[in-house]
Amino acid sequence: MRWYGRFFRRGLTERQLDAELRFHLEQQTADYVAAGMTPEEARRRARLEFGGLDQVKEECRDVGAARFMETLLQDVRYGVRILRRNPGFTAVAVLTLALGIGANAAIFSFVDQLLLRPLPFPEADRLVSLCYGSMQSSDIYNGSVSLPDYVFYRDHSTTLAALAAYTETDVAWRLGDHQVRLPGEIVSYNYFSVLGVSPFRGRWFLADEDAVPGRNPVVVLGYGLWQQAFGSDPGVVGRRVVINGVAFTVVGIAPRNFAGWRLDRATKPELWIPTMMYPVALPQIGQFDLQHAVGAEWLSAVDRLKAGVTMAQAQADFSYRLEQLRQTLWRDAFAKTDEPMQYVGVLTPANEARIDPGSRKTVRTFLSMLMAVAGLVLLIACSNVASLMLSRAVKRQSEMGVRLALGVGRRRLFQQLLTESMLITSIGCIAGLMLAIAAAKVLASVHQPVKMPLLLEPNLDLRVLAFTLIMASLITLLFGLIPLRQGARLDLVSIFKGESGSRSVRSRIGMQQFLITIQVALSVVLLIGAILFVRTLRNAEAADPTRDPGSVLLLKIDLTERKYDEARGKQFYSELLARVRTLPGVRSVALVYVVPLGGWRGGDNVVPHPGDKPMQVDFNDVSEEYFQTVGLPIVRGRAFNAGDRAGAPNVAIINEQMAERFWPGENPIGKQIGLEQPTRTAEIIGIVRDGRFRNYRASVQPCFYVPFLQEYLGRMSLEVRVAGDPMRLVAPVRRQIHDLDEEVVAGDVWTLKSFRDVGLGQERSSAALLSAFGVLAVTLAGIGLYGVLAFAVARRTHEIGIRMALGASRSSVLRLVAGQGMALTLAGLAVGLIAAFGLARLIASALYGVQPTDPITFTGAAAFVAVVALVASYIPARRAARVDPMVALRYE
Amino acid sequence: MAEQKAEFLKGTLDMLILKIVAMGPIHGYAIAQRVQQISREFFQLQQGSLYPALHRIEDRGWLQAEWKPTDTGREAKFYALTKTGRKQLEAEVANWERITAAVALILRTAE
Repeated sequence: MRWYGRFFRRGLTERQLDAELRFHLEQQTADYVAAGMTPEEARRRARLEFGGLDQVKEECRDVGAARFMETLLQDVRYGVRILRRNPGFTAVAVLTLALGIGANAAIFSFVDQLLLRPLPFPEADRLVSLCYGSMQSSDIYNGSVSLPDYVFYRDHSTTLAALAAYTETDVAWRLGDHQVRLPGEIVSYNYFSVLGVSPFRGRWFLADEDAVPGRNPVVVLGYGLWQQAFGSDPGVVGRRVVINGVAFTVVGIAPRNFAGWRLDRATKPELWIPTMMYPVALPQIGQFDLQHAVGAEWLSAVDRLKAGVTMAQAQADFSYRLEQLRQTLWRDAFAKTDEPMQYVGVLTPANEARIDPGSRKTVRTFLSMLMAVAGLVLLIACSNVASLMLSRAVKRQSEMGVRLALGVGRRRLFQQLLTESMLITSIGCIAGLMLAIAAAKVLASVHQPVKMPLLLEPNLDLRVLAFTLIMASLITLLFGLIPLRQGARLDLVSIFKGESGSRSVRSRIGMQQFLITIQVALSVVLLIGAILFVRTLRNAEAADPTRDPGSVLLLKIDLTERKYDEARGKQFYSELLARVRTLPGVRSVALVYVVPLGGWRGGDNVVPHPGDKPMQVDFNDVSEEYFQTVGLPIVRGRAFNAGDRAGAPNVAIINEQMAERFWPGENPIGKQIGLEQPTRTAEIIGIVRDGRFRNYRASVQPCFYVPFLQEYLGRMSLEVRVAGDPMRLVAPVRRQIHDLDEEVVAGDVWTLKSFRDVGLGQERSSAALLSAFGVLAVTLAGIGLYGVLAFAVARRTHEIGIRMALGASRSSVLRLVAGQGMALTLAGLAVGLIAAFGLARLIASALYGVQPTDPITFTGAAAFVAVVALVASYIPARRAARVDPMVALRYE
Repeated sequence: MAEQKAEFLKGTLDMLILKIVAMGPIHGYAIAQRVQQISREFFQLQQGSLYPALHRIEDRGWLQAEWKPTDTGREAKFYALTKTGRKQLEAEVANWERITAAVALILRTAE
């Protein structure tokens, strides 16, 4: 502190030093003159005897700094010794802090990646993203624009430099004699230049290559793909590669670190294709003319603001152009539907558009919840360590007293205690960072923690490090306040008189009790949150009517890329079903168009009674064994069978909901309904158990199923119910597909359960994280309570001895101590339950099938915390009850 | 003409300074003079090196300094011993005596 002060008082000190040394020299000179020397000679001699003036000055100045370093080193050495002498205290404190710091650093790294970090492009703050919002609600977004919209904005905007468009796709890439699926992006020619990225080799696309649909098959390869597929061959530019069966010319290679910039993707793009190659890149659209399709919104738009243009100006320009579009291009196209006519143009900074704008809010809410929970755990951890330090402070009171009496300054003592806190925090910080690396890996491997894929790097970078350091400094300061209070309160007289019951000790115990109450309250809040999310997850899983979804293998197959017509497609699928059915271990096998709980649904028009207007209901297209395969029971009538093929009478199966809504009180079996594509009349032959399609929260909708042989669709999913481990069947099933057509590639491997769980990712991760944090919090609170009571018992040994000598029974002593613990617990529970009651409403929208103030959950959490507290109180209470009055009284 | 002069033993200077200051408040120049006088110019003291030592001891809290006029009326920085300084001096003197006694004993018995 003194050294610190000196730094600012340097001017004054310097003048005084000058005066002092000048005095010496002049005095010496005067003495020599008095002894008969000439003034000249006297001055020379005085200077000579004094030595190097500047060197002396420098040494004098260094005194303070040297002492600071010396004492710091001394304090660190002393602190290390103290910590090593109390390994229990050190271990608990460090572990507690490490858990708190680790959790926060890990979660911060994701918050930073998803929401905070600037984009890695030059002048990234000038990049903006265009999307459509809704006039109805500020929460609804459509992140995409159509190709005609894009061209209109690009050619008319006055505030944007050169609008670029992009979207994700995945393509079949021919590698030797087999094909692999590769993620890629379809981008406008100016995409890279708008972002400010230069090619590693070759060039980007030319404007002319992105002008006519299907004319210029050119491709830019990603650095990784170039390394893997071509062994980093520099001569690859100009080579031909086969994508979706079409030969493309490689024109460039992207730099090593460039792999798009969106984070809401399952995989990073490995190649880029110009927008006008959409007929090849998006085979599923068939002959559809995207170039003129107003309303087919499939492109995201990004741009750089022109120099000098503000966000507000660009926003005004965008809104104005959107109005122009509404008056011209959209007028006729949207005559029948009103949704796009209610769009509003929304301009956002591009670094906020790394996640689809419609989902950004969900991600933010989820991450905020995590950050808040991690913060609470850190708070508990801190208060626990603080409480430990307070206990220790009382124990060390006599040590402090002795040191004060020996003349160690209070400031010096404070500095030393602060050094000790810093040591604990530093060790906790290092351990916490190691924990954070492990935690980040685990978190990043959780499949889709929110309702979309996210590209997350589990690496901790400098920004996370900086965050952790700031966090650690704050914690050190917080703990520093404890010794400060302690240092200020030390009263030598009372310490040496052995008055451990002095006022300062009592107030410190009050502080400890307050901290414990807070810990209990926080842990019960976290536990309630955990139970609510676990029950949400259970309820969501129960919403899936499928029987044993873990034993059903799921593979997506797309024949549209291979340009199969209906006859060839039906033949392929029928043969595949027949072949897979004979594989060992297969119980049943089926095809289905929409796999339920995958986030979307099929809809189709139906005319329930002759003469009605067509009404849209849910629709699915399945092969004969589908219901048997997933385990949906037919409640009435029959399932599809091999006879339900083209040429045979058209049939349909409806769900219970549809039967109830359209034919209430009647038997729908045998009724005729009108269907489209192809237009036909079908007879209802059965009623099947209800199921949800889009996700578990969606209400059950009326739905009908048609046999796949009567309505052909090229993209189907193969579902195989397997006896035993379904993964054993992956290779045999793939081989059958390959044998039928070596160019057909089945997509990712799932089971029905893993597929469903993707949609439950957020529920799952919320439940898992909150449970982990909840248990951690209760454990910490338990340790804290134990520590406080154990300390109280140690301090009151004498008093307890007297009580027992005066006739108090062991059970009354037990009650006395345990009662103290339970009183604190009850206070904490009361505070926690009230807080949870208020906070639970905030997460109400994330819950499913359980009320945010569910009484069973609240009671259960409180009971659990109470039991832990009881155990934590019992151990020191039993120790108190075993106090031998003779020993206790002799002790002093 | 082989006048024998010794460098200060490390740490000895501090003790000498404390001893001199113990006689009453005194400024740096006077301390330098006293060291020379008392040791009969045996110790070769580069006078400048006195000051870092003084400042170090002051910083440790063994000395306290005050600006006061000298006999001639000039302002000078006077050093005085603090309570802890006096304790330190006693400890160092005791320590010094133990060491010299031990060394003397070894020298005598080894003869």
